[in-house]
Amino acid sequence: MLKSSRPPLNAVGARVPQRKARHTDPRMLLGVVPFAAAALVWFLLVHGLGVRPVFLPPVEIMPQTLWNMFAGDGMVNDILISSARVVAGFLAAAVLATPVGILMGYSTRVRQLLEPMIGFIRYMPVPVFIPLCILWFGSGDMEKVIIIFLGAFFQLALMVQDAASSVRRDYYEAATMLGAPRRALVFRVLWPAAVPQIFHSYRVCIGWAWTYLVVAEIVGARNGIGFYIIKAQRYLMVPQIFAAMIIIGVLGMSTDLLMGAAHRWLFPWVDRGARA
Amino acid sequence: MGELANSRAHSPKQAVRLRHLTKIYEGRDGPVTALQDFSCDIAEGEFAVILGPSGCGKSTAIRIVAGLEKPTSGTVLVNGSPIAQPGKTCGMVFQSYTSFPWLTVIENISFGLGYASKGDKNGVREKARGFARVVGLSEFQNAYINQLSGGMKQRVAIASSLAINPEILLMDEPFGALDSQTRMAMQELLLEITEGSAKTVILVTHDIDEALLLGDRIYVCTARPGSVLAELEVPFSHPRNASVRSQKKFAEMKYEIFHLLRDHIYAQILETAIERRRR
Repeated sequence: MLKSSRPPLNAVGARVPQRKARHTDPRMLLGVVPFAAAALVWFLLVHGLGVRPVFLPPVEIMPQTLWNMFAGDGMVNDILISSARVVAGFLAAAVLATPVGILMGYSTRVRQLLEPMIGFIRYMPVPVFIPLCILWFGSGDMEKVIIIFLGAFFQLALMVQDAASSVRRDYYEAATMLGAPRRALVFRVLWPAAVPQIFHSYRVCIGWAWTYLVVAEIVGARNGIGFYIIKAQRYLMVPQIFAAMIIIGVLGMSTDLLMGAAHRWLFPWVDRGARA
Repeated sequence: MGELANSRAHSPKQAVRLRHLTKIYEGRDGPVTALQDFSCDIAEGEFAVILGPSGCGKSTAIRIVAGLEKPTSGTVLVNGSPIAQPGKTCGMVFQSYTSFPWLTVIENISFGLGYASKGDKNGVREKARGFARVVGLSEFQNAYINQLSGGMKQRVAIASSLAINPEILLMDEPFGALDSQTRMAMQELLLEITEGSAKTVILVTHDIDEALLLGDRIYVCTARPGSVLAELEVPFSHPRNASVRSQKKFAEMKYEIFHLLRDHIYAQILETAIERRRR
C-alpha cells in the first residue's frame, strides 16, 4: 500500500546513534583534589598549629588506625551489620513507597487522600521515633530497620509521586491513540517514563538511609558502625571516631557510584545532556 | 494511482462529520471559547486541511475528532457514529514529539502494532521494519528517540501511526516545530506516502503552502473563537509532487487564502496586545 520510491531523507539533520564513550577522562581525577587538600589542612592543623591529638589525631596515623580496626576490632562485621540494616530498611521503604507514590502521581484522588498525612509525618525528625520504636520493638535489628524505613518511606513516596505526576500528558494521549487500553497506561507509559527519575530518588534516599542508620545505632545498639562511634567516644578513642567517619563516607560514596553506574546501565535512553 | 485519485474525489461516504461544534474551556480569567459553531464534512479518502492562524481552536477540533476531548455542544460523527473511545479508528501525529524515549525506533513503531495483532511477535517486527523503511529510518531502527533530530522524531511518529492502519490519520501541526527546510522535506515525504494510499487524512496547520501542497480540501478558520471561514477545493490533480509549488494557481490560491485570513490575523494580534496591556 505504501511505497517510497525516493531515497530516504536521512541527511536532514540526522545524528548517527552512537555508543557512549568509556569514562577515561583525566578530569575525573579532579575529584581527588579536595581530598588531598583536606588531608593537607588536617596535617597542618596538627603539625603547624599544634592542635592536640585529643581534638584532632594526626592524619598520618589514620591508615594504621583503619588497619587495626579491620584486623583487630572486627570492623568488617560492623560494616556488614550496618549495611544489612540500611539495605533492609531502604528496600522495605522502596518496595512500599514506589507503588504508593505511583498511585498518588497517577490518581488525583489517591493523592488528595494520602498527601496531607505523608506531609504531616514527613516533617517529624527521625530521632523522635527512636524512643517509641525501642519501646515497641526493643533495641535489636528490627528497631533499626524500622527507623530507617520511617525516615525513608515518606520522603520517597513523595519523590516517586513527583516523578510519576511529571510524566508528559501527551505520552498518555499518544499511547491511547496507538490503541493502548487505559489499564495499560501505568505499565507501558507511566512506569517506563518515570522510572529513571524514580531510580534517581532511590539514589538520593539511600544516602539519607545511612544518616538514619547512624542516628539509630547511636541509641541503644550493640553493634554496627554507629555503635562503634559511640563506643569510641566513650573511651575517647578519637582516631577511631575519625576512622569510622571515613568508613561511612567511603561506603556512602561507593553506594552512590554504584547507583550512578546502574542508572547509566539500566536507562541508556536518558538524555544526560552536558552532565554525561 | 489514477483510480485512487478518482475515488478520492467522488467518494460519497462521509468519514468525519462535525456539526456546530462549540468548545468552551474554563480558563484562569474566565471561560474561553476555543470553537464556535464549527462545522465541516470530510469525505472518505480525502486529504482535508484545517488551516488557520495560531490559537484559532483548530487543534481543539482535531482533538475532538480523535476523541481526546469532548465538545461543549454539537455533534461529532466518525464513520457515521459517535466516538466510542479514542484510538479505535483514528491515528494521530502530535506537534510535540510524542514518540517514547524509552523505546527504540523499531519498538516505537511496534507499540501500537502489538495491540492490533495479538501474539505474533515476528509478524509485528517485520511489519514495523516495513514502516521504518517507508519513512526512511531503516538505518536508525535501533536508535533511541533522543538520538534523533526533530524531523526524524516526527517520522517515527508518522510510522507508528500508520503502522496501526487507522481509517483516519489525524495530524496536529506535525511539522510545526521543525525548521523550514526540514518541514519542506517532510511535506514531500508525507505527500509521497499519502499519494499511495486511500486513507482519510485530516491535517491541522497554519502553513498555507503545506495546505495547498497536501490538501484536497481546505477549511480556512477564523481566529478565536474558531469557526470555518471558507471551504476551498484544491484543484491540483493526483498524483502530485512538489512541483505544484511552482504553478501559477498555487501562488494565486496562496494569496487568496492569506487575503481571507489577513483581517482576522490582524484583529487577533490587536486583541492580544490589548489584553496584555490590560493585565
